Amino acid sequence: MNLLALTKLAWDLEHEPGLLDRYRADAGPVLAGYRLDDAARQAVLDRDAHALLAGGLNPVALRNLLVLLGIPHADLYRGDHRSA
Amino acid sequence: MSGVAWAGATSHVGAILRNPHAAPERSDGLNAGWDAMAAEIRAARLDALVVVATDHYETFRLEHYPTFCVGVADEYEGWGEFGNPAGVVSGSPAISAGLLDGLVSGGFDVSRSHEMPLDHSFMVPLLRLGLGDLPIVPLFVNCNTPPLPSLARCVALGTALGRAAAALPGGPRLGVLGTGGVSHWVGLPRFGEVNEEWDGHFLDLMATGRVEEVLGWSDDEILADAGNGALEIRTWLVAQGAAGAAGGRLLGYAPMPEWAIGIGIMSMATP
Repeated sequence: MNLLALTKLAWDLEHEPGLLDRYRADAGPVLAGYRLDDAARQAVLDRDAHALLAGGLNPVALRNLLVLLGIPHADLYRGDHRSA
Repeated sequence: MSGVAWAGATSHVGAILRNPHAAPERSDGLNAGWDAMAAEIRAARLDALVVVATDHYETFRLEHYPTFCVGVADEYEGWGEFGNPAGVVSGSPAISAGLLDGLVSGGFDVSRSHEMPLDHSFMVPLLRLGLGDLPIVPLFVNCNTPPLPSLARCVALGTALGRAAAALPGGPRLGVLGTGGVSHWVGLPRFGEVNEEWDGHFLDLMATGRVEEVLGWSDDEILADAGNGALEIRTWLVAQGAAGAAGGRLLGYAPMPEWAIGIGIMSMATP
């Protein structure tokens, strides 16, 4: 996974005005702006903490990213968040 | 006497401020510990406080990731990330510049930042201790993005910081506050766990001046036993190195599963 791109995405979703709303409306065009490989892109879309962790994403950045995408910290590794 | 007049360390989780009375049978004792620490700091009549802490991918990211970085600004803005406190705290550029000079000439080629927003690892302790009006010098230590500085290197950084503080012109009285730990897991499947036994052992070693045993721990061991958040004990080691004496006084400890962390509060012995 391109870890730099993932950490940039996490930071931008947190701090760039309007980006999180645009992501929620249509994730594809937002993700297209980052150099994510297919596995990383799919893990983000699936909000898949297991895959992101296995891919090497730092757990702190992982937490930031998935909490921004609506998963409580305590639930990151519980259940399937693809359609939630 | 100039130099480091006070040193200590505390955990920094945002729940300290967001949910301070989560478990009164334990959080009351912790709040008393922070009140005692705040009184010590006030009594020390500090000119500035060096806050040794980490960052959670807010200020430092993979584009630029220092191992050690000292802030040299005249003020610092809090990120206010994820419901943590925002606001602005004052810096002390002259003291920052003097410490930077002293650290570099003392063999620590630390980075510097003229604009260094602070996350909760700085802001939560400052606000909990009521120190919003005390000028600070933020000192970032990489505690979460390997390769990390060794534990021994962090003690040495603290020793160099103490020497640099003692050499500052005008003899300002400085405090050094480390923030982070103790056991907790961030962004990992074991989030929410606390290792009370590990916490107690670490705090006992620090309080009784047996830092050498801590320096024998590998990061893999710390990670397995106490979580990635416990890697933040580096900031405690910097503080104790800066204090210039062995040992400390435990002002509070409690496992706080309600906050997903073990909380430790300690003032370090000074000569």
